[in-house]
Amino acid sequence: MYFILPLLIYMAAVFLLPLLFVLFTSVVSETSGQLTLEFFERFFTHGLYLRVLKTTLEISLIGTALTLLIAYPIAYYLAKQTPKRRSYLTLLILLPFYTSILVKAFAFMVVLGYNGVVNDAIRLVLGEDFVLPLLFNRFGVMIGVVHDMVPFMVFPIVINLLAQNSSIHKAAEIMGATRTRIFWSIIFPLSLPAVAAGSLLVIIRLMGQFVTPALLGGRTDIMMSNLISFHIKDALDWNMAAAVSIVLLLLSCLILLALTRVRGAQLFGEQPRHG
Amino acid sequence: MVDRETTKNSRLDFTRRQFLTTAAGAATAAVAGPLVVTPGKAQASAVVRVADDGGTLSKARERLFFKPFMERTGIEVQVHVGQHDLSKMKAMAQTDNLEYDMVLASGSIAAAATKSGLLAEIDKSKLDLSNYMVEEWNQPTWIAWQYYTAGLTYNTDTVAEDKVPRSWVDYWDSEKFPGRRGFRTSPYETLEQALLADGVPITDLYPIDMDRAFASLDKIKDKVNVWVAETSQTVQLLQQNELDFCVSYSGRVEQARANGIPVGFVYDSAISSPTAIWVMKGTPNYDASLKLMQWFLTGEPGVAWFTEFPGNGPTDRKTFEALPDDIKAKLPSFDNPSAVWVDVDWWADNLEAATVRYKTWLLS
Repeated sequence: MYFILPLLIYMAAVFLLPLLFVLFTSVVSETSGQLTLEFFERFFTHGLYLRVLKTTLEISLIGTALTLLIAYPIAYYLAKQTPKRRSYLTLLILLPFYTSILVKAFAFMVVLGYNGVVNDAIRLVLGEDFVLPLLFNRFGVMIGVVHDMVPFMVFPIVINLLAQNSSIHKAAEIMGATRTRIFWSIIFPLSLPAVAAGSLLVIIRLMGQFVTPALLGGRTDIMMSNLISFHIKDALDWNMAAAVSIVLLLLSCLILLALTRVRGAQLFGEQPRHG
Repeated sequence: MVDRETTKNSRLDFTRRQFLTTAAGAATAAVAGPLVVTPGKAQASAVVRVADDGGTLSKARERLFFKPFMERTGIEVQVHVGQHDLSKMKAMAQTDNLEYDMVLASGSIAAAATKSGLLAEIDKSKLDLSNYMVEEWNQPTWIAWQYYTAGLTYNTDTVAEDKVPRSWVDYWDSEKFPGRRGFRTSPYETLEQALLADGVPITDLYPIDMDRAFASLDKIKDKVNVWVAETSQTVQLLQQNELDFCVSYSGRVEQARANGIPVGFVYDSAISSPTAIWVMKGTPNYDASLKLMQWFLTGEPGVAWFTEFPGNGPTDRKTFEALPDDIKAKLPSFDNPSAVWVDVDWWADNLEAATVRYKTWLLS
């Protein structure tokens, strides 16, 4: 156990201390120096914060679900390829990961914008007046965040699929199971820990997102991180920024807890324990 | 490590400075060695550390202002890029660790930093301000060395000249001036536009009547196509024909035009804000900082700067008079009654309330 001591000290200094500082700032007023819950009260009583919290949760949850829907087939396909072909295809998956969001936002406009490829095609078929609003709304946000998040979901699932014991698949085949049956009864349940791990990575990252929704979203696509950044940088209201951060952190922890329960239960092949 | 002053106070009644010091002390003790290596303070006073916002304009300032200043005075200028936001300044003050001595940034930041007590008083007896044009921008803790202008920007390819909204009243009239409109996601300048659109005279803009501004915004809300968060997107959205109209900045638009991008800027009733220069409280390089401040306010590089980057205007009368006529024509003049000048003090007091209300309004 001693060999992780340096890491623990490092994490205590650069992670735990600042975190305690944030916690401290969320309950001790900067102006009066007194212990107070007024910032949390403002959070839960002013319409803005709860509404933004709702938007953040919506974007995070729907974004994660869509990412999973798109990433799973990709991962399944990748796992079926020869190692050499797989490494080439992996590069393609990583490409968006290495591209700056500003460049991507520009590229999305070329494809999905008012004068983009998609809308030009639609106009060609349906006439000049037809335009699909694909950007600067919730749809645009989803396009953007799914694009950002696919690699985080694909890799845990590919690794899981490759590590699955293929003799179980063969045994099922010998017993006459169809490919659909093998997938839904064996492969998919066995991959659930990876699905949970990938979803966890994605959902936590999405809850802290704000650049992509700001660049591709509409009027109502405001994220919690947006408010934190505003209170820290522009309003210099660190109390409020800290309170918003703590709520976001607690929420992330709750999601983490829920997902690790699924994961643990599946890992050990048991039913989740209740009570 | 424990300060005598604090032990007699209640446990919770201690300041963040003390929390940080104690925490840093604990962290240092934990690894039994120094965590942070602070560079020794410059021996000579012949150094000024300046925070600037980075990007092409910063590079140009280095070429036009800083280098000649170093050659002229022998004072070394060290540029810190992109660290002039309020939170950074507050953190530096709290940890007693100034990383820079002076800042070039928006006057609204200067006004807010002044309210937080972060800025040094400027000793005006050491400056020559005899040709300074705007008394409101000659503040005890900051001075504007130029101003920048926000206004209506349009796509010259998609909008005919007679269909360009010439005022904010026009911009709010989507029937007479049809087109895809962009608005900003920040209330700064937007509330002013809303009031002007509602017929408030320029002289009565401040203090801003928020109820009236939001009532005016309600009328245009559903006609807006894109709510633009990033300033760099303003011109980009016009360039990519995503919008016909947007709110952008004259300096940015003039640069885009020079690069052949088909955009136009409406200078009538455009809204100008000061770009300030200020000195941080507790700086060890106060005198050298004031010399650099003077250089920005009245130095010879001014003419070259405002000629190379049209759309931004000087606050020094001599610099202004020395500018070529075609450059002067692109500036809102102080004598023009249709020019709007932002009251940065109002914004320093009301930014948080206005932004929280604006974002709530955006969501509803």
